[in-house]
Formats: sequence, structure tokens, C-alpha cells
Amino acid sequence: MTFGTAVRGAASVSHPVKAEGSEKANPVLEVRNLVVEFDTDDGRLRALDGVSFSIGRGEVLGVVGESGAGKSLTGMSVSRMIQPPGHIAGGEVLLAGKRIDQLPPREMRQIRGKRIGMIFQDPMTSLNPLFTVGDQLAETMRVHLSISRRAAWQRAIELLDEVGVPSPADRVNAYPHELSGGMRQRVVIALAMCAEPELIIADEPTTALDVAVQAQILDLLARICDEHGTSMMLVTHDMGVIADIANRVAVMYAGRIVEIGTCDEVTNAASHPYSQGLMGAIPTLEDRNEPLLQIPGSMPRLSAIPRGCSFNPRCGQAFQRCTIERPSLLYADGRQVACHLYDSVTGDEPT
Amino acid sequence: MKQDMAVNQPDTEPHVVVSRLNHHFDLSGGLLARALRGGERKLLHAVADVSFSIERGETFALVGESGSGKTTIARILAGLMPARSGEIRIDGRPIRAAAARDEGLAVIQMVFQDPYASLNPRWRVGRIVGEPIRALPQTERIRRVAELLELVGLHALDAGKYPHQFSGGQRQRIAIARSLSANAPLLVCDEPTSALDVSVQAQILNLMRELQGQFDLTYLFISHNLAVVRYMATKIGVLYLGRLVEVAPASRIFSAPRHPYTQMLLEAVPGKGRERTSIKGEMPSPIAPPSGCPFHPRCAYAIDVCRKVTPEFRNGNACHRADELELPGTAAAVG
Ligand SMILES: Nc1ncnc2c1ncn2[C@@H]1O[C@H](COP(=O)(O)OP(=O)(O)OP(=O)(O)O)[C@@H](O)[C@H]1O
Ligand SMILES: Nc1ncnc2c1ncn2[C@@H]1O[C@H](COP(=O)(O)OP(=O)(O)OP(=O)(O)O)[C@@H](O)[C@H]1O
Ligand SMILES: [Mg+2]
Ligand SMILES: [Mg+2]
Repeated sequence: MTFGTAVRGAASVSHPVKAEGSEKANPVLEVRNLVVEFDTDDGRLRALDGVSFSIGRGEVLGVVGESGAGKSLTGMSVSRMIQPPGHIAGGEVLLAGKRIDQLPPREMRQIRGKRIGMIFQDPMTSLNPLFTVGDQLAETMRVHLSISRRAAWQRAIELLDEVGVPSPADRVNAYPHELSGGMRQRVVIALAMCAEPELIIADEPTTALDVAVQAQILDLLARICDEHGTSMMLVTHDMGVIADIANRVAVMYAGRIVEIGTCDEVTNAASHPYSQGLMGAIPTLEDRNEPLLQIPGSMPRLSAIPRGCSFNPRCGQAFQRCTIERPSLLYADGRQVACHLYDSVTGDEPT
Repeated sequence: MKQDMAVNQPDTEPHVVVSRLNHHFDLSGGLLARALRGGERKLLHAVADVSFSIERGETFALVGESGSGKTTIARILAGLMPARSGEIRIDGRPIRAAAARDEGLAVIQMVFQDPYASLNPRWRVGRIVGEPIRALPQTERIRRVAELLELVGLHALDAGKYPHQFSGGQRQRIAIARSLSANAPLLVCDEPTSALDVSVQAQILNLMRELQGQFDLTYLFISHNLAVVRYMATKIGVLYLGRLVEVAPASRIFSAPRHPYTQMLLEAVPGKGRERTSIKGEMPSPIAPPSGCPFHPRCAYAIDVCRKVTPEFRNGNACHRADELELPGTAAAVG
């Protein structure tokens, strides 16, 4: 894979947030066997099917995969924002070791905003067009922190400064529509971090932004996680974004995680045939003449997930077992892969 | 497929020549509104003095931030709107931009970003693909449409279906088949894969390169994704506030950019995992562009002259300091 050289070559001037791996012992977030289902006219559809992963303190976990893989749903299940007819049908979500998936909605609202911050692709999802930026920041802080009105306002200005909004003492009085897209996303980041959450869930936070602004926002997110020890689940389509600030990467396919490994492992030497295809399909800044890798076919609909490994009809390395038995996410060479090629128990050697 | 346009054209000048293209949008709301408000005319210069040429079989990519004028140039070239001034010549023949559509066989065809919006939902695929060749006899047209659908990886029988029966990637294949049907030698592709998943994007980009090799097609290719541009382009033009600030072979743009704005764009590409030093601010308003070099407020290398004098486009770039600066390219980050 050629992708990594451009990334790794810069390792000596690497981003501070890429410093260390996870603290396996006390993960900030742990998701075990999460199942999400939708009740539709066509019956019950399983959109997430046994998703398990953890995020350590200060760690950035990137989540990638094709459209419809279940990336956003995973983030929304953690923050319990799934709307009916969708619902969590199984599994556990633990925040700093305590289950939060069964908390009453009231308590969950306390956790959202205070302990879990959210950033979405469209900043207006998080902003109220009728209130000034300062009102929204100060109000959020007063709900979650015991802090005076004055102090909250002062802190709002500091926060705007910290996320790179110019002349924050003026902008604190601005309404969202008076700001550019990049500035709005900065305000959303300030909102997400104003109560010093342990975890930020960022769903395509830079997808709607222009290249230069995207780069600035990525730097900002990386800096925040680094300086505040905040953990982050970063959902994105863009492997460049992943290579930039993620420590580990989870690759999702048809509602399951098919591989989790360090950013380096997954982007440079993916194990799962789907991850390999995905990485090879993405153009890089290197000069190359050979065509991009193509994964034949497309992701199955939820109503027609194939038997066995859900990737098997598109997989060039599938064998009989893949059409019968669903592979589970197992450790292989220090990373987790859900593929029968790597299941040494049965004696099938990786090719 | 034959390239009819190529027949007996002398090799004297490049295939496509665009000279001094200018376009502005009038935002002042018409004569009456202006008379009432007594205000000045408010003009947005979307394209300012843009000149470039494309050789046959080449892919010329336009890059630049949102609002830099890429789509406006594409639409003018494809004959979808007239330019305020400037000239476009294909194989030495001037085309009246607005008239391209009426000339029987369209000279230039366009592939749009949104494969959902660009295909008429009430037409069957066969009619959509055959629209540019509707003048041909029916049997010939049907045969040709079938041929084109197979060429882009669809089935001849798909001609009877409607666009909503296809995925995003398949719809983009339909759009490409349509653009090929008229044997147009130049295809204008505005963000053709931006709405697609990476796996589908790979299929479309590979297909476009394959077709180019097969039929010696020329592409004007627009994408905000520099890695995609790297994969497709032979030559790149960098736009800033409607002006070309640098034009060079693709490999040179990436290895040794000569305009500070080009360097900034390269640095903004995520994936290098390093602190970015040169990225500052956002693009200024195109209604009141800065004096002098339009990039100077964001430029790390700006000196006095940059604030006062608009640099001319010379030797492939428009920067007062191009000769003295040695700007790093992406090659520095590799190995
Ligand atoms: N309200 C709903 N009813 C039925 N299915 C749904 C509903 N919402 C989401 N889904 C399905 O759940 C699956 C996962 O969706 P999700 O939004 O998590 O995908 P994603 O990986 O975030 O994709 P994208 O990259 O397009 O944002 C999809 O197959 C989607 O069709
Ligand atoms: N019909 C219009 N009326 C007024 N202004 C317009 C019109 N179309 C485009 N513009 C303006 O012209 C400038 C150039 O727009 P254009 O769409 O060509 O940019 P672009 O480079 O394609 O951007 P993007 O990357 O966002 O597609 C922008 O400032 C835009 O706001
Ligand atoms: Mg999503
Ligand atoms: Mg455009």
C-alpha cells in the first residue's frame, strides 16, 4: 500500500495528539456487543450487529467505512440520540466504567453536554439561530457547571479565543448566521468542550468545510484532545483526516466492525480484505500510474445481509466457511480482525 | 467511437485555448433597484482574466477553494452560460460559448457533481443517453446507446429503466455515457465523484482514465480533493478569487509549487500529520477583493509591493516573489 509513506514520512514532526496508544486498563468509553434495530414495514432490520470497541483516555478513535456502514448510528447509540423506530436492542455502553445505556433520559441529558460533547457535520444542528453565540455558551456552562452568569460569560470569551475565533469579545455577541461556516464549526467545538467532557463524538466535523478551514479545524481538534486529555470518536469518510489525528482506526462494514488497529497498521497494512480494498481505492498525493483498487459490487441493504461473512460476495479471498459462518472480531498480530483468513484456531493460515 | 472533430485539424495550436475569460455577476439587483437606492453597482468578479490551454488527450484540473470560480468557468466552457468577455477556441475554431449547444454535435459535454439532479427523473435512461444524438435515425441511436451503456459498465437493457432505479455511482456512469454519446472531444467534469463513496469514486475515476486512453479524450476536471486531482490531472490551474495564480504540469505543482497559495492548498491536505504553518484565515469577499495581490492578506511572504500592485500572470504564475521563494512541495513529506 502506498498510502502510508506520505503519512509516516512526517513522523518526526508528528502531531502531538498522535503521541501514545490507549490505556487499555481504564478506557473512557467501552462498547460491548451493541445491537441497534429498526422496526420497519419490511420487518425488523438490524443496523448495528454486535459492535464492540473501547477508547482510552486522550485517545482519538477514527471510524471509517462506506456510506450506510453504521458509523453515525454507533456515535448516536453512545450518546443515546437514536430516534424511533430505531432502538438499542442489546449490548452495553460504559462511560468511565459505568453503564450509561440504561440510564433514564433525564440523567442521560445530564451526561450529554457535560461528559460527552457532540460535533456534527452541519454546525446548525448544534446551534440555535435565535440566540447569540455567547448566550449559548454561557447557558450550556450554567446548566452543567456551578458557575456564575458573569464567570460563564467571561469563560465564553476565553473559549472563543481558544478555538480561534478572532476578536472574541465582539464575536461573543454575534448570532450564528453572522459567522462563516468555519467560524460556526469553531463555536460548536467550543460548545462541545465548554463543560470539559471526557469524550467528544465528532461525526464528519470537517466534511462541509473548505480545505484550508478543514485543516485549521483538524489542528484545533487535535490540540484540544492533547491539551485537555479528551478522548474522541471521529467519524469520517476521509482517510487523510484519520491519518492526521487518529491513534486507532475502526473499519465498519454493514453494521459490524471488521477491523480495529493502530492508524499505522490499518492505513499501511490492513488485514481485512475489505479494509485493504478501501485503502487501495483512495487516491493519495503520490504519483502513481496503476489504477486504483476497485471493490466489486456494493454494500448490501440491511434487508439482504448475506449469510456468513457479510462481505463474502465482494471478497476475492472468500472460501466456503465465509458463506456459512459469521467471523467474530478476534485478536491477530495485536490487532482485531473479523475474518476467517486470520482465525488460526481452525488452522486456516492467512494468505 | 471516432473523434470526428479531429479530422483535418492542423496542429498549429493547442486543442482548447481559453483567452482572457471574464465573468461577473451583478448583485445590485437591476437598474430600477439601483436607481431607487441610489447605490453603486455591486459586481462580483467570479472569473477575472483567465487564460489557459489544453492539449488533446490531456486532463487539465482546476483547483481552488470554494467560490474561487471553478464552476463558473466550467459552465461557460460547456456553453451553459455566456461569458461577459473572452474567447474560447477549439482546434483553432472560435466557438460562441452560448451557441455550442445548437451546433448539431455539441463540442463540449459536461458531467456534473450531483448525479441525482443532472438526470431528468421522468426520462428513461435510453432517452437521457441518446439526447445529444437525437438527430440520428432511431435504430442507429438505439444501437449507439446500447454500445455506450456497455462501455461504461452498465447493461444495454438498462436503457429502459429510470434514473431512480440506479445507485449514485451507476447514475454517474449514465451521465458519462450521455456525455460520450455526441463524440464530444472535450469533457468538462465538475466534481464528478464528490457525491460518491470512495469505493464508487475509484470505479468512476478508473473508468474515466480508461475511456480517455481509449478515445483520446480531453478533460477539464474540477475537484476540491487534491489527491483525486493528483490521480487524474496532467496539468493543473490554481484559482484564487477568480484569478489563475499558477498553471503547471501536475507533478511540478506537487513537487515544487511556485505560488504561496498553491503551497497553502498542498499543506491543507489532511494526512501529513504535521503542524501546518502557512494556513491563515479564510478567503476574502469576492465583492471587495483586497488591493494588490488578492492573496496578500493571507500570505506569509507578502511584502510592500504585494499590497499595492496586482501581479501579472507571467511564466506560469502570478506572484511578485515567485523567483526568489523556494516553496516546499508534498515531496518533502514523502520518505
Ligand atoms: N430511520 C431509519 N430507518 C431504517 N434504517 C435506517 C434509519 N436510519 C438509518 N438507517 C440505516 O442504518 C444504517 C446505518 O446508517 P448510518 O447513518 O449509521 O450510516 P453511516 O455509516 O453514518 O453512513 P454515511 O457515511 O452515509 O453517513 C444504514 O443502512 C441506514 O439505511
Ligand atoms: N448565479 C450567481 N449569482 C451571483 N453570484 C454567483 C452566481 N454563481 C456563482 N456566484 C459567485 O461566483 C463566485 C464563483 O462561484 P463558483 O460556483 O464558480 O465557485 P466554485 O469554485 O465552483 O466553488 P465551489 O468549490 O464551492 O463549487 C462565488 O463567489 C459565487 O458566490
Ligand atoms: Mg453518517
Ligand atoms: Mg463549484
